[in-house]
Amino acid sequence: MTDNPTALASRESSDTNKMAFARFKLLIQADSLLSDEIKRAVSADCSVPDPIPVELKKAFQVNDAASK
Amino acid sequence: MLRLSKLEVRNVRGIANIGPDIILEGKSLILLGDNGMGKSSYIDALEYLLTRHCTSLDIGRSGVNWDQGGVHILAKPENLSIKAEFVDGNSSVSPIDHVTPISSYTGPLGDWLRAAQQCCFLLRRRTLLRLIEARAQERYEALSPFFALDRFTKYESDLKMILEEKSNRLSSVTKSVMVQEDVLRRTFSMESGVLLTEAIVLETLNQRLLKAGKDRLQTLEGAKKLQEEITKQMKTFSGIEQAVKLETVLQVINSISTINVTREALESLIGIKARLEDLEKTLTRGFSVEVLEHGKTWIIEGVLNDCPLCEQQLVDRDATLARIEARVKECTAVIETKRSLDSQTKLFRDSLIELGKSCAAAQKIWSEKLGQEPAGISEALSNLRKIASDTSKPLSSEELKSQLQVLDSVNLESVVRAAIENIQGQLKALGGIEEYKNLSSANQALSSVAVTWPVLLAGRNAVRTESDHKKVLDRLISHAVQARKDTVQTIVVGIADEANRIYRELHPNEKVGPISLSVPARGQGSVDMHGEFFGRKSDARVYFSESHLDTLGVALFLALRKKQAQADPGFKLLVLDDVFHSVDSNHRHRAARLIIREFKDHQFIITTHDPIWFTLLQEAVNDIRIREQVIFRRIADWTLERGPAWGEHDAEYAFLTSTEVDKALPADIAARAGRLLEEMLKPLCDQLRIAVPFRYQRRVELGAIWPPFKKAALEHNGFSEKHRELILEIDTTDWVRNETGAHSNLSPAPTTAPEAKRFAAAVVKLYLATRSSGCGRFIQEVDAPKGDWNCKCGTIRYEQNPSPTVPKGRGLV
Repeated sequence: MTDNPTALASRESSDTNKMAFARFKLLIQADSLLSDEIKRAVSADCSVPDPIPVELKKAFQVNDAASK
Repeated sequence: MLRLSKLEVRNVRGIANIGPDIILEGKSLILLGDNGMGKSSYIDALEYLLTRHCTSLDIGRSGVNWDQGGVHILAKPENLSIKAEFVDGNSSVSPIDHVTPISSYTGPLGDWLRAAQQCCFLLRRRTLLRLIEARAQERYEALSPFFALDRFTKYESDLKMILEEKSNRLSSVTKSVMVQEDVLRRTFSMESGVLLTEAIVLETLNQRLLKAGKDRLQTLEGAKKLQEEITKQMKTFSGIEQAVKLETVLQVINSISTINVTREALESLIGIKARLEDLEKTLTRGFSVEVLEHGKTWIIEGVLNDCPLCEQQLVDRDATLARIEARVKECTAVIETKRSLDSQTKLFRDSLIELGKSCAAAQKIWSEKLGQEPAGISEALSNLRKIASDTSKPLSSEELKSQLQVLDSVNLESVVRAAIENIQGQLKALGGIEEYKNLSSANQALSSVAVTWPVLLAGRNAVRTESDHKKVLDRLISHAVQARKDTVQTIVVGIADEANRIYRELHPNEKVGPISLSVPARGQGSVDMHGEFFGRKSDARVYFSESHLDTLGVALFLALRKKQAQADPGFKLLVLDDVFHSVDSNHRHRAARLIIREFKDHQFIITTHDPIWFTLLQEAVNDIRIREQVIFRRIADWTLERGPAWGEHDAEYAFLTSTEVDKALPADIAARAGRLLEEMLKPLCDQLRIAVPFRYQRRVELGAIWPPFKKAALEHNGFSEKHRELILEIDTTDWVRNETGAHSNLSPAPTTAPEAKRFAAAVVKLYLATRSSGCGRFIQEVDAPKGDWNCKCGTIRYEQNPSPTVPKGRGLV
């Protein structure tokens, strides 16, 4: 087997990433200890290169260019 | 879809300077050849050309690598050459060579090559069990291209960064709250463990107010207003000027911060610094993690020829990559500790500055109001300034410990206590001002509460907020880890299901298998593998036979290839280099059909040293009806100087039946007729079950196989009846070959053209008598009717026991 398994990512990434995000959001929605605000913030779009949504950063008052 | 059209290899491993080239024209190839005849050399060359890496050589052992072993033993490295051409449908594509960096190729060819670098397309005997024998972490690493969770892992990593930021912030605000609480406790002369609730502070304050003859406050919010009133009232007292000064000094001394927080910060700083020093002792050289990561990528892509660590020529890429990975881990630990050190240094300095400011304010007010230096405080301030000055530059843990000793020698709490007693003594000496003192005491308490309490409340709110955020982030990260593991589990289950499906097809109705892949709860980045044997689950190697393990390795590889083909339909190349050696005869037919059927949409290159496998693959290709898409080649001979030589009876037959033969020299005609005879007798002897002399590590030559074939042919009723004269003709003329082509003997009487043509004509007749134009196969001995020699499609039939012919007019009535 060619042992160079860096990243097939670019082609398959959208599907597996989507699968992981969907699973993550399901776990979040089912967590009764999390507030609706956090659940809404987590549900926002996670895009490249900064996958943390602005809403989530605002929820945690993280100071960076994206949340200003 | 791009397909290989031509592979041109020179001076690589067992292939010498003359090739031969492999002409594919987009078709698949099934290649037969004895061991040591150069099959794998073509595979090595192809792998190196496409990935700049060779798994049969770059195996992490000293001295075994492409640079050492890639070049033909009689050639110089600069004469090594590998080139390939491609077709895309009907149009040809620019060629590639082994020198031009992969990254230079663009467009569809560039995409195809990058996919080739990233995909697993090649299985060898050596790599057959790699996934089975790998440790759980290595298996995760090997499978990680299928996970492709780049965006999600970045998200997870960013969440962890926010958590780290929150943890630092929480630590900072917690320390600030402790400082404010210490100030209030000192104001009210409380023990350090007393919980400072609003009720307790209010009650303690009210006791002071009661003593000063004031009404109780209902809340702490009225403290500032009441303090202003008491300040006014205190000004009405006679001889109070000095008392006021003393009160002012007392207030400012009371507001000196405690030294405990600063001391704790310095102790933490010493611990972190000592840890960093330990880490740095083991770190032989510091590297930029970013540089190392780039270096890794470049090595993998084959861009880099020298090791980025030691700048020596790359000899063992795997070992170098492992060393870089270890350096990245070391450097990452150092970087994280340095980050903690920076954060703790800031906390310590902030605390020290705060302490110094409060001492400086006390010194200043004391000097202004009382016209003298407060000896103890001035000395303490001097020491604090010295520590601040020393710690402005990087210090070792030992030097920091010395600073701690200096800090301890300051003994600030005693100094402050002595100063307070001093001022209170002076106030008492003024006499008759008990009421004033009570008012002063209340005034100080009100002042402290008015300033400190709002700050303390804000700090406590901040602690609560940061703490809540941290809890939420902990949950989010925990869910993210679980989601990633669940996703990886889904993917590996998909791979295992596909592998099990293939495995089941190869070993139906057996109590061995299936295997399962799972992501364990422990740690991160591991994939476990278990096999099932008669219902018992364990490591597959415990119960599986060698053959079963080999089949499992093939099944896993084919499952991965299928998964990657689904993900990247533009890259469909499958190379199997002699991997069926331990599949037993019961499973060969099934395995051959499965591979051809499942991968008929691929361009496949399959090599084998086993003629039975070659035949089975031929049958599978015919059965699946892709004969036009597949080329069959046999390497007939190999020498060190010349390399592999094709055994091509088709080409010899085409020559001997063309008009070219009229212009050819008698020696050429005889030699090529001899080669055709030799090439056809090998499959005929195999398929007609004719025993030939065993030659260990030597090819079987015409001289050894013609006599047993002649004997069997003459003894076979059906064949002998039709071709006895032909066999005898070849037997009497094959001296022509011996005299000319094959052995290049010098002869006093050269073979004439008529003699050579007579021999060639007889060989061609035998070729036509034994090879079917219908199925393209030579005749074989069949089991029923036993002993008959038939071709597969039945066009040619020779009965061993022909039915007696019934003469006309003598049949049964």
